[in-house]
Amino acid sequence: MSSKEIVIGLVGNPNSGKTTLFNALTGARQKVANWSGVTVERREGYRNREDHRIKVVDLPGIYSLTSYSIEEIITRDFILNENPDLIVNIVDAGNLERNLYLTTQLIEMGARVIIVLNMFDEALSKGLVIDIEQLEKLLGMPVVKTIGTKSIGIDELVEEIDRASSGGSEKVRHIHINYGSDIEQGIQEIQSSIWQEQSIGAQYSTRWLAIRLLESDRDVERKLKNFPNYNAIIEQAEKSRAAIEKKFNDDPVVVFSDMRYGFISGALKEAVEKTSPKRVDISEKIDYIITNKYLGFPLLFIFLWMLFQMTFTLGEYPMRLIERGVAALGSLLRGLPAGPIKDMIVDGIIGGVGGVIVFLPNILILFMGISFMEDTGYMARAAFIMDKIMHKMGLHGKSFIPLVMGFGCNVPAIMATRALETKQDRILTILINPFMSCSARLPVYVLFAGVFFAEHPGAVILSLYSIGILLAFFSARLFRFLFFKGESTPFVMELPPYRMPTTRTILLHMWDRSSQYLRKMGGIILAFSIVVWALGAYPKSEIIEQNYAQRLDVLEHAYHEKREMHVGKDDTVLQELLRNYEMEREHLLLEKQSAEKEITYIGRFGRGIQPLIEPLGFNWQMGISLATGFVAKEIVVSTMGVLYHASPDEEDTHRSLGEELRKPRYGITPLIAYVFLLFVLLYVPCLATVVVIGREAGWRWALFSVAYQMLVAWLFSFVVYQTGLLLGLQ
Amino acid sequence: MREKREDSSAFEPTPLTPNMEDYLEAISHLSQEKKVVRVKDIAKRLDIKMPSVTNALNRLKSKELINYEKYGYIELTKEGARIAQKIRNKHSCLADFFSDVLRLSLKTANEEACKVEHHLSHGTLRQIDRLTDFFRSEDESNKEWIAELKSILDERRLSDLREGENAQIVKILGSGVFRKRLIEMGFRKGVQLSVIKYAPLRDPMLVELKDFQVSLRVEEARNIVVTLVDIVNGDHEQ
Repeated sequence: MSSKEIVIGLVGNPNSGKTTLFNALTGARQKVANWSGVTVERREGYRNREDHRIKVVDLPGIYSLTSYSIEEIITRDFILNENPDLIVNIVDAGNLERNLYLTTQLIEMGARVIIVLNMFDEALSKGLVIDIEQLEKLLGMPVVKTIGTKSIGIDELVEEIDRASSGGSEKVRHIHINYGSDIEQGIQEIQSSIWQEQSIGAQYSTRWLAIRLLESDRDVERKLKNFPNYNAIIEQAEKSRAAIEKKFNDDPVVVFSDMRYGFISGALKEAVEKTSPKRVDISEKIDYIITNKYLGFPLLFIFLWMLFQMTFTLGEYPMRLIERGVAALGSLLRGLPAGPIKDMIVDGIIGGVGGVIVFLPNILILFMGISFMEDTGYMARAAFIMDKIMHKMGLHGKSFIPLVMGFGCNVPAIMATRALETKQDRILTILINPFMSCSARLPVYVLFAGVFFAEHPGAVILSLYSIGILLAFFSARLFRFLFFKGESTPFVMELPPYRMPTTRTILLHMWDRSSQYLRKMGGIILAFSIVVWALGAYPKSEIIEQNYAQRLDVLEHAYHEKREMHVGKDDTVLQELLRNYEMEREHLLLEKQSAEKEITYIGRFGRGIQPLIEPLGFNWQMGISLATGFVAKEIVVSTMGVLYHASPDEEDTHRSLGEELRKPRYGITPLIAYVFLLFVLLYVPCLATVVVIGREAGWRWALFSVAYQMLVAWLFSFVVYQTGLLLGLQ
Repeated sequence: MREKREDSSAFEPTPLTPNMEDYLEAISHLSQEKKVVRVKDIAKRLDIKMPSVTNALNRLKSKELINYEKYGYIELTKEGARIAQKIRNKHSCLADFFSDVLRLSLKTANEEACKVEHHLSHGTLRQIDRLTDFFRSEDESNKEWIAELKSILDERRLSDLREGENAQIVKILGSGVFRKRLIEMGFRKGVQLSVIKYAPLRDPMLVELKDFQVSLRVEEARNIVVTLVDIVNGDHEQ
């Protein structure tokens, strides 16, 4: 490790290949965190050089450096406050005009910039001949060509970074974009009023401040607030702004952007020559089919079905392997000396963390699929097709994919909301995602529908899925109305040309997201697992322990006595005796487990909430099952198995539990069974989902989500149950 | 295509009902386009069932405007041709006005002309015709006010455009984030764009600017004022 460190920031438009270039620069040496206070990812990586290392900060993809979005403010503040040695501006070489708009704003900020003409191969095939030297001269900064996906030009880029950041490049020349005498006069007036206070100029480029003030930038006004000459500056800015508005008969924002684009097209006229394209644009042809009036939707559903199948069917095999591995680890550790520590490790940690790790194959495959869809450009088309429907829900076209993924598992689905650009769209999509009935809820449905609605189990399950979707729709509109009123994001979405991503990029994206999942979830799940385990295992009762030990003794005694009586007689009789004994023993052990469960904190909780669940028709066993189901929905079935003394043999659990549930003494009618299923559908899906919501949207939203889901589950179940009773249903 | 209509009887009323006028007009067009006119040609052109056509033809025959034998060809009589020419004069006068002055598309102009041609009086049509003539001569001498008027009449909202149409941005209405985002992305006055397609549910729409494609919701595209452009720049591939 070396002592010297160069800090560079990667800035560029969305779809300019920024992330690919970041990966090519840093390899897998990355660190991901959030920008302080906001849920936008901050990604950092390193590249080691001979005598120093380069710290690369990947900034969010933006079109402009104004202050309309959080991403833009983040980028701006990074440049202003963290004093990077260099800004690397990544530009789509095939779409120079729009991409260079951001560059003009970087110039205005006075940042030291080098330009990377990425995807240079695409520009060539479009027939663009770019005169690099001319462009360098016109923009006053070094220009490097790269093809990020093929890692071409990366070494040259690194060398240029070293040269430019140490001030050794003669190509770096500070230029001004001339806005014409009327505007320049306004800029100068404001600048001179800013200069009244020396310290401002030490912090910011005064020319940039003046331009931003002319464009009514609230964030810049806020930045100046604490300087003594604030009022004078604002007064001057307003005066100059009015003068420009009068002169050009338009909003200064428009005037400035016209000027910047004018500067760009002037530069491009000198530096770029357009010859005939080398190949026909294939994107148009693909798009003809992909977003076709008739084929668009069927294709979308086929692709999603494939993604779904891959994630949850193909993922099934490695998932089982991991499950077995976890189980094996558990039994290996059973050799530890008995005691609470062993219980905690085996049942708490391995059980809990193991329960999350088994999702890893699903997540790997899902993210591989999503990366592929994003990198090829299909995701944008899917959003294009679905936007009308999603917009009706108050959502964005891109919300569609996470919602569909929710039918598999809400955890990766919620992580997939990162594809959404704005915070409110993300939060909204995250909040309604739990209503998408995940695959973990299916075992509960199958059990109850099979037992109580043996004739139409499919219809019952389908009704549950539909209710989930309807409530998601309703909730989305409600949340939009309550929290994000009038904040509807415009759907100005770029559809990038189709691109074939390389295996390397796909794998890197997949690895990147999956490792984040493990790291982020790991710690919290571990802690929660221990807590939940403790709640389900304590307090222990000496009395129950002794009581059952005694009864087991008696049973064993009786068996041995009977055996001795029959010794030497028929073998079959002896076997019969043994079988009987084992069955009774098992039954007794189950009874013991059930009794133990009842007095634990969770058991007490389940009993304690009885007044709450009685109006829904649930008995206390159901209450405890629901309480344990907070950890994961699969556990609902296994807890019921314990509480209803079903056979512990896994193969038999379903059948014997089903028989048990039907017994009239538990009083479960088909109506109650259906209401129970509704509750399972609607209440908090699992601990992992709550954690991932907390991570992705913030803990306040996670809490809100828990409260909202419980409330909806209870109210909906209550209404259905009471209406059912009134209608005389059973 | 347009002949001078100096003589004052060009738009004189005919003794026929609008319905009959349409038949006569159709026969006149068909006899120009084809060697012979059959009942089925008329039925196809006017989208009317054959028996109704036969019916109408018999009435025209009784007025001695056409020669027509059952299952035979149809021919205009001299008087019939004279009246048909008047009807066609009215139609072209209106269609020219709608397309050249009001700047509607040719298709729309013809459809609208068919609807009103039967009901306007001789005097009104003559005034319209004079206005169109004046407009054209002013246009030919490149008068500035004509250009201005044309640009006003040619304005459309981006959301009114059909798939494959090309246009030039005039201005962007609206305010706030949407407008600023558009401006940053290069939507500004004078920029050419073309509508690639609408999504399968007719919303949003896909628009191509210089080097990239953007999707916009139709309600948002309503804020973009454009003028139609017929010819695409050379740098567009076909």
